[in-house]
Amino acid sequence: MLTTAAGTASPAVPGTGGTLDVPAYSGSRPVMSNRPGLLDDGAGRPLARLGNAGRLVQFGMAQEAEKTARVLRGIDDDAWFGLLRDAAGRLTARLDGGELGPWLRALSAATGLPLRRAERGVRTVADDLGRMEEILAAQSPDGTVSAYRTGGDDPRWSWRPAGRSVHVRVPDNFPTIGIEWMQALAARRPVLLSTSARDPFTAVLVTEALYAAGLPDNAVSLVHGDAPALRRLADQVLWPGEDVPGDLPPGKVKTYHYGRSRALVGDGVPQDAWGRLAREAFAGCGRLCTNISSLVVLGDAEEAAGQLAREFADRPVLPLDDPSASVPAFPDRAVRDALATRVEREIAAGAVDVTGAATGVPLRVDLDGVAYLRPTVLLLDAGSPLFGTELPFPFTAVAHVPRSKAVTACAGSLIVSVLGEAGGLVRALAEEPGVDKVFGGDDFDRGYDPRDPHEGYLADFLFKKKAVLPGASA
Amino acid sequence: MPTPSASVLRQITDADVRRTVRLHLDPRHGTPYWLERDRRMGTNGLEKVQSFQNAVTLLGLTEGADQMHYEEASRRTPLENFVPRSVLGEGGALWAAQTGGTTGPAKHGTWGARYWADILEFSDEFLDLHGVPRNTNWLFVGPMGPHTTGRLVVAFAERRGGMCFSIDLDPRIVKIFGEEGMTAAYDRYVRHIWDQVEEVVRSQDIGVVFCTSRLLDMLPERLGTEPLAGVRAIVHAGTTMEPDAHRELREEVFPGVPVVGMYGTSTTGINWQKPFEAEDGHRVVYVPCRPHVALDVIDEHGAEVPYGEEGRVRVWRLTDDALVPGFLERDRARRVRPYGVAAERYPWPWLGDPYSPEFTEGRRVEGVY
Repeated sequence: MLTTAAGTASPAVPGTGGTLDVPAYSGSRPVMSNRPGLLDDGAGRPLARLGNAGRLVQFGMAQEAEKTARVLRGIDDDAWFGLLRDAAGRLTARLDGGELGPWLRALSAATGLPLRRAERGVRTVADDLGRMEEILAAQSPDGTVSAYRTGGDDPRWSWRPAGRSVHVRVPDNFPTIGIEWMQALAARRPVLLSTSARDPFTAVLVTEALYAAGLPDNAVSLVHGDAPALRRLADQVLWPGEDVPGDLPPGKVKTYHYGRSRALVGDGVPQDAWGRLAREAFAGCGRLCTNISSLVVLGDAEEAAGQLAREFADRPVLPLDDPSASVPAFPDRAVRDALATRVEREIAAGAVDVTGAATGVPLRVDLDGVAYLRPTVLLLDAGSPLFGTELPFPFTAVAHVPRSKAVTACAGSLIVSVLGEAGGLVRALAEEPGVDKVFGGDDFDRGYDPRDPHEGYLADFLFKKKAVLPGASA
Repeated sequence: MPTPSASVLRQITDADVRRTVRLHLDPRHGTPYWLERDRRMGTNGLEKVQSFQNAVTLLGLTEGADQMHYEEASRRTPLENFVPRSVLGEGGALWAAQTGGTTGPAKHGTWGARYWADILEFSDEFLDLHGVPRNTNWLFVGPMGPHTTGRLVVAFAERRGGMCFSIDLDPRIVKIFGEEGMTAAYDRYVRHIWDQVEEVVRSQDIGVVFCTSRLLDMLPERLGTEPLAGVRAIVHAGTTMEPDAHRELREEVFPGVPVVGMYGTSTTGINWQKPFEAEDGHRVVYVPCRPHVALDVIDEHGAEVPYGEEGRVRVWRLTDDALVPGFLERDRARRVRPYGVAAERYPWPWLGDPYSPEFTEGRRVEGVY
């Protein structure tokens, strides 16, 4: 679905106002190139021409980024975070003014996200950018943002950047994922971005807002698609998911937001918990790392699956431009069909499609020529390959697990939400190395808060305590 | 632009066309393939072709079966089928060229001694126009072996008073690595190339670097810019050179150093970038090296596109040892009206921003070639 622009003949997607020009950025300079890439909606209708920045341009970006690191650390805190807030305000103003309608429609058509959800996602990105001071303060060794400039204050160590530039691959599952690179930038690290195939839009909107607000040149550069030169040349790399390119040495890269969150259902679950749990499963249209992909049930799994399926049934498949839509589409029908086959194989092997029984809606839904998967609660055996697997739509696998195996069943989770009484399991989960976060009590659906450690703190990768004696100024 | 002597290039005249047709379609001493085609198609080109326009109409390859027949013959039949018997009888050297093999098995063509000498002569003219220094060593990083570029670059260097160090590159294995998803092998091969380049650059005095466009893209990230501080000219071949990459090379990586593009194929010939001017906007524009080679840019009906428009590249070669009558290349390019300081010197249509669609669309990879 990503080709060069030569020979475009199909009409544009309605409401996008024609094919958008979405440049790459070499610092603040837009790069469109002779033959931009062409992003379509999966049905061959063009959505956007993407600027193409080759390896030489990427080399220039990396060189300039290195030089800019010191410039960023030289800006005082008020001016720096004020600049980020200004950029956030500019992006929000563009959203409020309706100026970004064509961009949001293109984003929706390219990713399959409902329009309203896509807009909310971009709005959240702006909100996150505006509160970076608070987010970064939570991550610093002394609770202040000045440490990012000064290196902290300890007689034995100084907290120093572990690199001069960071390359961030930005995935396209949901716009809010942009918080990862925005944190790196806010920590005064020049970032070299590469966008993923389906969402080249969000990162460009934020980049434009930042430069409009006065961001120093070369603090952000942006390439659409793979950026092998940036991978090689940046000092550090943030890579989404676990499929890390083989040319990246392990110490240079930090993976982020690879997901697999679960809920553990104990005794005496309050009735309102099921609705809250469903909201967690539908957050970000089911495409976030915090979505509950599996329910580990200590008691009656069939009862739990039925409760959750009733909540899922209240969220039907709707056209992407319906303001109430929360179920994503699949612009690439083959991807939808491959996912459906995985679910259907489990049903053939004995799993129960609880939402199918409750709603009568088939798993594969086609609406106005667009492919969807109906939100699904699947009751299955804990040994099923889908138990613990994250799928990119609202999907939760439910299985009974005996108490003695519950912690093992939750290993490899980003978040484990504990509902109801689970005895000493909360403590055991907290001590399990394969579990990143444990939320229980009334906070079980806390989800993502950027002030919390999330796969550890990003700052702990971007900075390093070093003995620098006598201490030199930052 | 330095003030050069008169150009060795010139417009194609009707006399050129008649001479070439007489040579290749002579019933007794002509070229077997073109004689057979002339009979097969009932063209009677020897009598009817009196001008270039006649040749376009009567001799030009037509897309589909005609062009396919020629391509497959150039892959599967002896190369002598494409050379006039009279030229073979003269006994001069013939370079047996092979294409890169990116669109299937390699095609074959010849570069006769006279054509070779002509090419070296007009290449010198362009290298001088661009300010490429003489009496300095060259480093060639690209395909040697059956590929014409390697041999040609060695000749450039030696003719201009230097030695040519070379790092061989096999584009066919790179193509296999790319198409079969052998990423690790591809990466290792690329590293192998750069390791060798580094060795040469560290120990030798290199004044001119000749690289494929794709390798040039990687050059600064692999070597840094310091080891190449003494380089006084860059020459590149291949197809795609985006304006931003060109600008980066000229302004950031090699400031003040001429960066010169060469465009062509192993079976037709080479064409040189026009002298660099600000009004180019860093677009790479080539001057077809007439009268030996003519490059048209045509639409889907075979008509020349207006100036400024993009179309498919069609190539004519009118030389003693080989006739290529309007072969439709895979490449696309913009037809450019001559402008700037070289417009009067080369007053025929130029070619801008050529690229190979199958390298940038779909699954094929351009790799290092």
